Amino acid sequence: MIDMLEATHALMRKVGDDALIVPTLGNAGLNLFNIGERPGNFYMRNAMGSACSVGLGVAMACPGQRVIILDGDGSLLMNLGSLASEAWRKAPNLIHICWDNRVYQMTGGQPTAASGPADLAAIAEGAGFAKTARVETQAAFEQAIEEAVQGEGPWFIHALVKEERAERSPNSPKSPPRIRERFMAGVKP
Amino acid sequence: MINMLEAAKALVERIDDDDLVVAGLGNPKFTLFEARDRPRNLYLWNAMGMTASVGLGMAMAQPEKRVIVLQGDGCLLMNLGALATEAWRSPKNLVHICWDNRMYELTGQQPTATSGPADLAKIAEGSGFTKVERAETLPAFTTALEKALQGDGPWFIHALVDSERGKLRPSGSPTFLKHRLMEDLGLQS
Repeated sequence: MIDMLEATHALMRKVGDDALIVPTLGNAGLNLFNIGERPGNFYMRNAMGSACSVGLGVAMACPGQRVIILDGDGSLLMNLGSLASEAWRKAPNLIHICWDNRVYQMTGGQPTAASGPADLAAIAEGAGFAKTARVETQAAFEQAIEEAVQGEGPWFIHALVKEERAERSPNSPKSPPRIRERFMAGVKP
Repeated sequence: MINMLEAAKALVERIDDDDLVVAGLGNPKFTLFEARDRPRNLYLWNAMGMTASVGLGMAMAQPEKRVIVLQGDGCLLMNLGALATEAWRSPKNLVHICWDNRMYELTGQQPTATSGPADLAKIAEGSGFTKVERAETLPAFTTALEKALQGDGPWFIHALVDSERGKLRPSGSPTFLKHRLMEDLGLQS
């Protein structure tokens, strides 16, 4: 099983400085802030389910930059139709990573549908993604990222991660307008 | 291609008097009403996306009765995660039929993601449905339906329909329809 923090480290080593990263609320954003804080990160505050839609919008608006969505299984299930919109719009610069820990971790570890028969990679294929990967180890995750950053997307990477809570830094960004203003500095004109 | 009204007529001819039918806003409820109105039809007013969730709740609350969900592609895409919840809860008495005309017909025929690469039957399989049928003709639809009505579910039937608009509109407010249904079930409302 993958450690989300370690995988986020590897991701930051492999993506370029000008990549734009849109993490969902909770562990995805907290881990990203703790190890890869930079203007090109657009953190979701409470907007559960919206990282994928926001990421698709950013990818369409900034076709010259790579856009990486860091989603969770609970967040993605809340707005699953977004996968169909992503595959339909087919932004070649989009990489959608879903950290799947099979629980709503921040609200008390309640199981999600991914703990049952749902297979998010198979759903992404059904939604029309031609490039999907399902990874259960750090090595497989790194290999999938390398492949994804070399070619054209959209990519969907389903990463099975451990159920571990990220540290919440007291400095983690809280004001959505400030997050937006900072993010705009990371967007190339 | 299937005509939704003809398929709705084939449906009401084959279901039991006991069966509950939940029809989503727009053409699914217009055609069901025209095919045959009955107290056990619950027509949803405006609650776009909610048909599958309401049907799942009814199937879990009334495990002895069959529940049939009639939903359009636009409506399902708005709450696609409901498929994962349905497959996870896996009520045997649930038959989910999706009328797919590949557009938001009532709002002006804007294309949905199923006009692109999204395949709702594959998404249902990825979500964990083990009983899935895809029908493009009326005979194929009635065969799939008869199979679903004979065995245990949950079933997902993906029916490709034309975009003809239903002519009749069910009368009665949401409150009236709810009370009519509950009274017929012998429940206090």
